[in-house]
Amino acid sequence: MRAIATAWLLTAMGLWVVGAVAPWVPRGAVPDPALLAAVALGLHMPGLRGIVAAWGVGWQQDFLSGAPLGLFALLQLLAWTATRLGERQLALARAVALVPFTAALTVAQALLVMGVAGGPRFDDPRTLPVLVIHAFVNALVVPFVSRVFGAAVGRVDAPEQSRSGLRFDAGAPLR
Amino acid sequence: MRELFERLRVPLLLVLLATLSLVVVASDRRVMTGGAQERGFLPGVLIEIAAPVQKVLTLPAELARSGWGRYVALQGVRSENERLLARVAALEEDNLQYREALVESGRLQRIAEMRTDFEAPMRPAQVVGQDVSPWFRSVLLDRGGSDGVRSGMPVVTETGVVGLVTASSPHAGRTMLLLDAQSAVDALVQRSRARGIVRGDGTDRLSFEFFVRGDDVQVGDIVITSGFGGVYPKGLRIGEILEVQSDGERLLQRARVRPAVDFGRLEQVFVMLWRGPTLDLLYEGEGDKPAQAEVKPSGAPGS
Repeated sequence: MRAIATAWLLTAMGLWVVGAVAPWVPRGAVPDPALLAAVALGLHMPGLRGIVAAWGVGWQQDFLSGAPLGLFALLQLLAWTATRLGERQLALARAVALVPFTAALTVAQALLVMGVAGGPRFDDPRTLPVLVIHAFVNALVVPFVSRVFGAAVGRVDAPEQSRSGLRFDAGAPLR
Repeated sequence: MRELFERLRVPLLLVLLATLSLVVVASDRRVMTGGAQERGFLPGVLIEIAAPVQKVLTLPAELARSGWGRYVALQGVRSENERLLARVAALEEDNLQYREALVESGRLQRIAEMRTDFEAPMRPAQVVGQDVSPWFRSVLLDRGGSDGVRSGMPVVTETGVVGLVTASSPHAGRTMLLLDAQSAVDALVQRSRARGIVRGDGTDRLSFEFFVRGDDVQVGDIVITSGFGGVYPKGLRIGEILEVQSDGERLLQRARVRPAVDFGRLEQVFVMLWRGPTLDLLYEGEGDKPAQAEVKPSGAPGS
């Protein structure tokens, strides 16, 4: 539970910082903290905990975004799933695989947003540069975000595991 | 059976949550066609924290920008500055006379006109954050419910319509910009009264769709809100026709519109503390009725 809370807190901080920076930079030139968090969770938090964490990350973005409510919850859930699948098939722990994977995921999310929420418009010539820049920035930042999440989740998980270890290895009950 | 459940619990939860998300998206899009949405406690908390945090986070950038403007960029012009100082004294005298004229004819006058035209109280607000996704165009304001700002209230500047408040917490409000692909405003061409819908498409331009063939729409025409949608009061400036994409075969004609508001430099805005009848009906009985002010639909600011 603490690992999930840590992931959510890190994502919230990322969303606040990027949201504050976004008006100052060209469209698409800021990374998507929620997508990167979902990818990092896919790498470092498998199983039920990972699903819940990624879903929560999506909801955080939904609450702060103008998107239809629930859209990013769905997208980050799919991003987590894609990363889990990719992690096995493509060895995403290596940056050389993770970087193009994240760029492709950014493009896939844009296509899904177009399908579900009606935007972006790909017949507009200005959409493609924004998408390319956004994918590039996400791909550039993802190894760093993955390392941060890996360290944070690992640090929170370690004491929990050692405590449960103590509980199980306490020896036979006294008679 | 238990083993099967153990093996399938991850995909099962995945499908369950994905389905739940899809249902929420579908229901939320229905609400969005009404123009705005109310958010519960949790979203309110997140927005509430986001506004002051983002305000603090933008401070270094503001300071850096003003620092650059005041010191760094002026280092090479010291001698010129001394010469200009002499001129400042002379110009100050002129400035006193011009200041009054500036109040009459400049930005302050437009704000005053806007307030007189619509007779709705307005709350100034600062833009403190922006949507992190490049595919949605919304901004975060530093005013919320405690300042009377509620979902469904129009947001304007002295130059025209900015958008609509779509979610609010006590001290923050999120505004969907006209540029967002979900935004649609009932509009009129001020000169010919041709009526249509102004839609955002996620780019920096708007699309004006008008229905009747032969309607007189020309490049340079000013587009204003019609007031028919029951969301925005009549007469707010939306933008200027850039290009008419006329297709003789089609009933629905389209024109590109340059927004009156420079969305790239959006810093201070005004929230009209008024909610249109359509959105008021939507929130009727939810205890979210704003203090209504009379809105006199007298015409566009500057018209």
